[in-house]
This record gives sequence, C-alpha cells and structure tokens, in this order.
Amino acid sequence: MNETITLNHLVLYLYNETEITESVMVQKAIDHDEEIAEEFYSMAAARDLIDHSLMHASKSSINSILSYAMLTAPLHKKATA
Amino acid sequence: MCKDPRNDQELVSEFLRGNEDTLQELIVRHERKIFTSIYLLVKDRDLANDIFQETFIKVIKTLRSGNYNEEGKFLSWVLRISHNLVIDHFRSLKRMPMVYDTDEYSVFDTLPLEDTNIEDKMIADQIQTTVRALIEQLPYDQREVVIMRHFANMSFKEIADATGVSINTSLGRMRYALINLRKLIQEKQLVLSM
Repeated sequence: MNETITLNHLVLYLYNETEITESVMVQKAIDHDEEIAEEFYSMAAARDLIDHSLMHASKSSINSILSYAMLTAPLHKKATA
Repeated sequence: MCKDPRNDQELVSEFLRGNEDTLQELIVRHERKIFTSIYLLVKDRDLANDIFQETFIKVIKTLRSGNYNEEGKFLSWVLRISHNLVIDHFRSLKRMPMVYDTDEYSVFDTLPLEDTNIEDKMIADQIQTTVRALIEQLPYDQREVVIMRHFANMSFKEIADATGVSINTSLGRMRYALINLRKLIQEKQLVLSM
C-alpha cells in the first residue's frame, strides 16, 4: 500500500468525503498502484450493491400511519383541510 | 407520476399548516430507506413494520408538538427516531405489536409503483433479496455503519459521534463491511449485475 494513502483514505474517497487535495492524492494512488486500485474497485462494487437492497414497508403500515394522522389531526385543521 | 418539487422542509411546514397529504408524500419519498434500515437491524419483516409505524407516529406527535427543529435533515431525524426504537426493542426484548383498523380507512390504498416491466422487476427483486440477505449476515456494528452511511446519508464523522467511536473505527467498520460483502458474494459464487 502507498505510504501516504491509508485504507481509511480509500473509504473516505469512495464516499466523497475527502478534501480536494486528498482526492487528487488518492486518485493518483489508484491510477498508479494496482494493489490500491484493486482494493478500491472491489469496495466500490460492494458499495453499489448496497443501494439495491432497499425494500418497501407494507401498505397496511403506511395506511395505518396516514389514518392515525387524519384521526388525530387538530380539529381546526381538519375543518380547513 | 410527477415528483413533488417541494423539499422536505416545505412538506413538513405544509403538514403543520393542516395539509395532511404532504405526510403521504414524505412517507412515499423516504419509506424505503427508513423501512430497510429498520429491517436490516431487526431482521424480521413484521417487527420492522411495527417499528416503522411507531416511528412515524412519534414523528407526527413531535411535529405537532412544535418540537421539530431539524431543518433540512428530515430523513436523518426520522432514522434517528427509528434507530432509538430499535435499541428500545432490543433492550426490552419483548414485542409490542401495534394494531390499527385499516379496513375502514382505505383512501390511501393506492401508493405509486415504479413503472418497469415484469422481467426487469423480477431480476431487480432477486438482486435486492440476495444483497439484503448478505447485509443481514454482517456483524451488527458493520450493519449499523452501512445503514447510517447509505440510508441516513450521515458522514463518517457523524456516525462516529452517534455511535461513540473514533472516525477511524467507523471507517474500519465500513471497510470490513464492504470487504465481507464481496467475500460473501464470491463464496456463494453469486452473479449480481445491475
């Protein structure tokens, strides 16, 4: 691993949390060091998968929340709604 | 379906002015991230739905009591509430299911669905299920960081503060989570392409 780049730098860069100077440094390391590049792209692939894991709450749960909101709405607001 | 151009804060303000429809927009906008983050922590769909309901009831009560002061950070705030409820659940180790009569109030029954063809949807569903199962296998501290970073959009500094560890620890947990996910995919010889 490049002596100035730590694995934590790679994670920060992966999530766009590095300062511009750090970003340049990390990208340079990725471009010039196969080991770093492999580590980075492997983590990037895993990161991209996570966003595809989203699931929905049940419709009955959502309906219950909306019903609760309607039933408990302040009276003056119910009248104007 | 057109996306509502108003931001979360505008929707919250509208809700507080009595426009109940904006609550539905806020829920539709964020329910996937909130529900998934709860589910990944408790690993039980029914329980996740209970906590999801409980979370929004707390949200409604807090908004109406005038104690909401998280301008621009609605999602993070809701996720914090849900996370605290998950912790409460683990502490109490007993379920308190919430029961509401939904049959009588079905006016909100039709929620928007994504317009995709059946085959694409089946593939996407399969990938979702597989990835979720992999995330569920991560140790709790790694899952927690994944949820906070991906679904709550919290920075690693914020995650470190929220979980009482150093930023290097939260970065390390995320790195191990990503490495473990890749390892699990390789071990199970899964082909996941989007």
